Amino acid sequence: MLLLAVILVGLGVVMVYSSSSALASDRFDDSGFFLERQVFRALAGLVLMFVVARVPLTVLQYLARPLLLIGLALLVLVLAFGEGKGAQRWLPFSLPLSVTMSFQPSEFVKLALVLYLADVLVRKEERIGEWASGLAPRLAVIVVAQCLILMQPDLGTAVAIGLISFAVLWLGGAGSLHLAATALAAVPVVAISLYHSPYQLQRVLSYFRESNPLTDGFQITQSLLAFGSGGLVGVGLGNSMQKHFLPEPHTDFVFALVGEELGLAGTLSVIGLFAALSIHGYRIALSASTHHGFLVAAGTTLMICVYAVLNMGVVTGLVPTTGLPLPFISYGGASLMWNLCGIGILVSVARDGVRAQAGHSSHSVPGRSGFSWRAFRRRHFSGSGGLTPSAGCRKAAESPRNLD
Amino acid sequence: MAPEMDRHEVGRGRLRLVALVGVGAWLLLAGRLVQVQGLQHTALALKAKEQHGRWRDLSANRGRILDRRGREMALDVQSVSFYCNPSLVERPDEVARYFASLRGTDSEALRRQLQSSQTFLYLARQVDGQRPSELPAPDFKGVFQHSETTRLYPYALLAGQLMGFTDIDNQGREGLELAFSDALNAREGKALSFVDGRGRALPGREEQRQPPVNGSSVTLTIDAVYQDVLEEELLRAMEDSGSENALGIVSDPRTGEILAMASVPGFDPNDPGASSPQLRRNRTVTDAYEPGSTLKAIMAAAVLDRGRAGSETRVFCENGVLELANGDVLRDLSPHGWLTSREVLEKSSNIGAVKLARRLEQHEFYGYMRSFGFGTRTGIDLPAESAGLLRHAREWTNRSLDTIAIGQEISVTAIQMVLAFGVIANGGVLMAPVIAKEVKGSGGKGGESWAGPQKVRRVISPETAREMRAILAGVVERGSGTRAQIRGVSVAGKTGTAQRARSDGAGYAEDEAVVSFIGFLPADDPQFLCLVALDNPRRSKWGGQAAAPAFKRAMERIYALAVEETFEPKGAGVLTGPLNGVRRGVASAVPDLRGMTQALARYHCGLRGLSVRFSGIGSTVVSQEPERGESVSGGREVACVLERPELASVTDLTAMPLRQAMLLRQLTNHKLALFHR
Repeated sequence: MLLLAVILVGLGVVMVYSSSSALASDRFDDSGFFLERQVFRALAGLVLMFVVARVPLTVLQYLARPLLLIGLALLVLVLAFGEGKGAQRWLPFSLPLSVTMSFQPSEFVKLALVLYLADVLVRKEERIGEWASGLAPRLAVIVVAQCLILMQPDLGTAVAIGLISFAVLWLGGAGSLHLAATALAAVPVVAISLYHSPYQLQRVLSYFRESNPLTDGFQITQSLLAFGSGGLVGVGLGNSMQKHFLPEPHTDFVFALVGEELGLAGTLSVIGLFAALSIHGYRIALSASTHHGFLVAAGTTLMICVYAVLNMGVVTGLVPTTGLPLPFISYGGASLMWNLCGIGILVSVARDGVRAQAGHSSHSVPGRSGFSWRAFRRRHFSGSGGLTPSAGCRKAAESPRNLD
Repeated sequence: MAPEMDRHEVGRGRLRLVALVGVGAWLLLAGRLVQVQGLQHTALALKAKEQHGRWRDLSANRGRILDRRGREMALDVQSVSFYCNPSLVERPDEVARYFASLRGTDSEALRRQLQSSQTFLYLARQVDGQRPSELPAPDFKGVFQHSETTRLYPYALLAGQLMGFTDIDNQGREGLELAFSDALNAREGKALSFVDGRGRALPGREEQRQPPVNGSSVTLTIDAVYQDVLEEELLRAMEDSGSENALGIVSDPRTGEILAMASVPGFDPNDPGASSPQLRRNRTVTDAYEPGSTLKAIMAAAVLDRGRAGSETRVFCENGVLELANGDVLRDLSPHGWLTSREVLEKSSNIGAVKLARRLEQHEFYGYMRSFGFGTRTGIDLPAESAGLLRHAREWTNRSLDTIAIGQEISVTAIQMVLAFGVIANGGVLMAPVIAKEVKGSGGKGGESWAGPQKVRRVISPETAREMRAILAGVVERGSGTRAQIRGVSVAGKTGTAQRARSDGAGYAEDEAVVSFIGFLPADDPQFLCLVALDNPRRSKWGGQAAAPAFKRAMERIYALAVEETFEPKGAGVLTGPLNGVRRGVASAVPDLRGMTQALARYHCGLRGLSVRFSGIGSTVVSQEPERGESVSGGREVACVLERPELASVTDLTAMPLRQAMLLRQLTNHKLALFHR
């Protein structure tokens, strides 16, 4: 799991450099402008990942609601002070070391929402099958988040968050009919949103009609040209011509550059990596020791996969253009960091599952696991925690005491 | 417990379903990628390539035109123009200061222009780009430059009509530029540059696909110094006699090489638009005139060659009055009785000439005239050549032979006349005219050399030619052409005065004439042949009075130069007037730039390592600092004041050298009688 993530991030760093160097020298007179930032964020994300991997799920459950509240607050803030190209998606803030970063709260919100839903689904498990007392309040929270994101406006993220949330709700036992009905009700909302922002409408329309390469379908046309020129093995790293034609080659359309520079071999490898990551994620979910762990793992995996599928769908022209990044690979600090954080969560769940199978097999009935600092301390700060979570996992599994 | 358990199991079941959907999505994407990258690869790659590359022309220089000594008479110079969109200029103060100093203008005015709302502004136009390393490359944001090629004729009016000129696309339009267009034309190269989405070229990604090929250079038989002498003497003669215009040719009769070829007033090919199409014609080949008495020499050569008369054969000149077949009466200026053939030419007796000509049959005479080259184009490598007019003997009236014998009812071009006299001078052979000795491809490749003198045909026997040379030497020695005598060398030649055909076509204008002199020297072994013709002189009506002195002055100087050249084979003499010292290493003296265009002034300063700065508005230099002739060290700046030609002051013209005053006069269109002496 970690390996997969690190490979993807590594590939991402390389592709971001290859795709953005021209753009960066053009805009900032520094071809490494985006590379430096991406490397910095990747390192930050990896640190975050390793930290999160060592945080027990119970802590995350405890933190779920505060995190969501923070996320929603940030969304409000971004509406008030945010910046971005045509849409307010980023919050600028300064770190010490005079590194100016902008922060995209919606990336954070999606993770917080997954954690929140997992938590609430476990706590309100009995009532989730019901509409008014079970599902509706959860839906309301989702809709609030979506509306805040829509107001940025960012239809793609809103839709993606809706998809992920619905999947988590469904996995958590919500009635299929309830969800289907709600999804139907969302259609007019999407329609109205499209109507209000012509550029989104344009993108969707261009998907359905014969595209005019110079206006509405420009990005997709260029993207397909990139894929097409790549052929089987690509034109070689750094040799892309299409990066000069794609408007933002290092972010949403980075996969097209992978296609051009590394060819079908590269793209299928990336898909393979994501597929392996998703299957691994689902395995972790299925072997989770608790229902909460199951939902968190499934939700996190879905979060990554939905983004990956939607992004690849967009750049290959299968899905209308939305501004979704490709997890791990696209340039973008927030996406990278929170996706790595998600990987950390998955590792954490996996360790719980392994521990449950190995040490607490009698505890096989999943239930609400309460959080206690004492248990947390006992589990993580006594004994021999390895340097890495995986090492920790293995040690825990191999520990004779646990095998007894 | 049970429902919880159920829900978890339900969830696990649902997750498996989700995973299955997920796998389906991955497969779908993989399939799509196989379709796009595998199956459509060729088509899409091709389409992508189309938008990546952009063909760009690589400029190549048009070939140079050189005189026989290698002096550049026409060449391409690169110049750079700077422009901007004022609203996009980042540091307008600095930009204004820099370009104001480059232009030698006030930076305040430029700064105001930079603050205006216009969207396009030329900061500097046609800055000399000959030495790009010396041209500081300003790296101002928002300032752009484009280089362009300008055709420059360093000697300006010198041989203007011969040179011709090029159009805005640097294609030959007139003169040699047109005649040698194929050789001179450069072939632009092609480069494939890669561009980004906004069409901007990507640095370092250009591939040259077809190298630019500079045009071949054409080396002429013309000697610019001879040309300069001829033009100056023609101008002087034109002014002295009050002629409308004048033309002249100097050739080497042994080879058919044209050494100088001029019609004045000339025009400046650097600025062809400034002069009328009339002035731009090379009238020595495009215009035919009635040769008058000069043709008597040709007629006499035919009669002698046929053996119908010798140089001492006597004809009766009817005491000045001869009635022609149609009743017209032909008169001599002064009545003569019996004259020998030689005397007929020396005194230029019309009646004697008719009597001599009548010894030939019509078809014989016609045959000789054709054989001398009249009535057909000479085939010289110049555009728009006229064939003149020589009607076939079948169409002759019963007086045609008589009138043609005295150079009427026939029209010839100057070049035809020169070649026909060349027959007499060189021993009886009509030579093909040569204007270009060599066409050399850029980098020494390709091109062709002149294969040497081309004989067209033998026209008269060497003996006849020798006899004729002696007769014509007599003409200069004691006949009508005494004013053409040159101290130290024997000259042979013939004067001619022909009434101009009236512009309405009805007969001859009573008081309008073309006076000419054509001769060669040394008379016994001719090396130079020269024709001078003055059109409609107001003050002296006779060829002997007006044209012969011009011939004399021009040939005196040219012959002296030629003698000097035998000791200094690299070419003798310096160009006079404003061109003084060009290419001859008089680098320390400031050239006289007055009357020159900006480009020309820059060129001449550049040759001497001087920089030049312009101020004022206009196209012509009216004053300069330092003055001409002042000795300065290289790198010194010459400040020039520009004015529009019509504003040019003319008060000091009389103090200027003749040629230069003429140049200015032509530029300024002042109709001043400058040289009343």
